[in-house]
Order: sequence, then C-alpha cells, then structure tokens
Amino acid sequence: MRVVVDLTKCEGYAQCAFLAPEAFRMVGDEALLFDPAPSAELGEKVLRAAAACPVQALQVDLADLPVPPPAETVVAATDDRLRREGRIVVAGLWKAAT
Amino acid sequence: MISTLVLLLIAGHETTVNLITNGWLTLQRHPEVLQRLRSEPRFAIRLVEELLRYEPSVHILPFRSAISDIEVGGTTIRMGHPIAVLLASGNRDPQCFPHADRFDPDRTDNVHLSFAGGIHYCLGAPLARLEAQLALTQLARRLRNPRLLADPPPYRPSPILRGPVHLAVAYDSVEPA
Repeated sequence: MRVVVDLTKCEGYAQCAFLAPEAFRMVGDEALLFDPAPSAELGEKVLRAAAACPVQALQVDLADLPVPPPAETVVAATDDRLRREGRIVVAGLWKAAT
Repeated sequence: MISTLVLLLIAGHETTVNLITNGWLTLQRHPEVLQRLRSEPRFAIRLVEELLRYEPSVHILPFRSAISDIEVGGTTIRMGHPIAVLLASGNRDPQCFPHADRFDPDRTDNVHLSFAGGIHYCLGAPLARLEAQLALTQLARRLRNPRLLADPPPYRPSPILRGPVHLAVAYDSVEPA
C-alpha cells in the first residue's frame, strides 16, 4: 500500500493521526510525519484516515507496488519504523497564517 | 459551565443520532447501496462521508459574528455583523460537487462541510465517523428484510439540527452478531 500526502492541500487538521496513528503522526502543530508505505494490515485504518481528511489531501494506492526508498533523512529511533522510514510534510496555509 | 455542558450533550449525542437515522433512511431509499454495505466491509468508510455530505445532522451554524471586516465572494461583511453558515447548502454546491443532489457513495474528493472547518473543526469527528460506520454496517448485516413504515418520517421542526422525530422500521428477524 502506498500513501501520498498533497502538501499543498494539507492544513494540519490531524484527522489522519487520530484514525491511523501507526501511519500518521503530528510533529508539533504544523508538521505531519507519515509512512509512505504502511503495512497491508493497516489498510482499513489508512482508508478511514484518507476518507476523513477534511481537505482530501491523502491519496492511497492499495496495489502492492514496489516502493522506492524515501529520499528524506529522518533520525531513526530503534523499533520506530515511522520515524525511520516516514516522510514529513509541513501543513499548509491557514496554519501558517494564524 | 452549563452552556458548555449543553453544547457537549447536543454536539456529542444528538448529531450522531441524527447521522445514523438520516443514514438509515437514505440507505432504505437506495436498496442497491444497502445491499453493497452488506457485502463490502470497507464500503462503510466512503458511504458515511457521502451521508455526511448529503444528509448532514447540522444544517446551519447560526449565532456567529464577524470579528473583523471580511470579504466573501465580493461582499464585505462588516465587523460585528451576525453570520449564519449554511453548511448543508455548501454541501450541495454544484461548483464543488458534480450532480450535487445525487446520493453517490463512490464520489471522490468529497470535501464536505459537515464538521465545519478551520481551528474549530468538530472535536468529535473521529468518534462520530466510527459510530456511524459501525452502527450502519451492523444494522445492514443483521436486520433481515428491513423496511420503512413511514416515508417520509415525521421531522423535528428545528432548522439547525435535521433529523426525524423517530424512524419506524419493520424487519422479519435479527441475525446473530
């Protein structure tokens, strides 16, 4: 399963982080850390998260395609796959403006 | 304090009751969608989003006022003037939703307004979604041959919260969980 977050849409509502905390996590108020290739067992939770996004910023591809390794470097804690392999986006306009 | 408790009672209970009731009414009116809910476990997720758009519990957010001059669609709302936000009308905006009056659970990019938006986005949205997804799925799977006894059902007169006074449904039997 592959997840893409459109960072021009994301406004940091954090609904995804409530519904699939294994795959989405807020870092402070404005940044979203997400797993671009969550495990298949999380399928239902990730679909719930994508449907609940108030600005529909999440795209989920359920086809099990090979995933290129993320380019970003995130400091990894042992046994924390999200920190090791996740990607981070900074939430958009209204957060930045307030 | 009392007004906060009243708000929590209404916001946390009555809205979800109406969402489930409006949802079941809509499912009974679209039997092919009800049948799909029985057979596709993940269908409830998208279905509830479309129910939120098509039959929201909260139609109007009244008693707002502008804290500064704001411009919306070429009209200036002066500071202090009262505002009523018509969420349900926004959910049927044909510029945002093709065939807005059609109930279509396969709709993509469903950016509905039923939990409002911005910093006061509904605190209970994750709970409400889960309650509606679970309740409607269980009703669909367990009620054998459900049918409405009155369509349309009697509605409460509130312009703000939309939902039937009660929704009478007959069924032949209840399947075990």
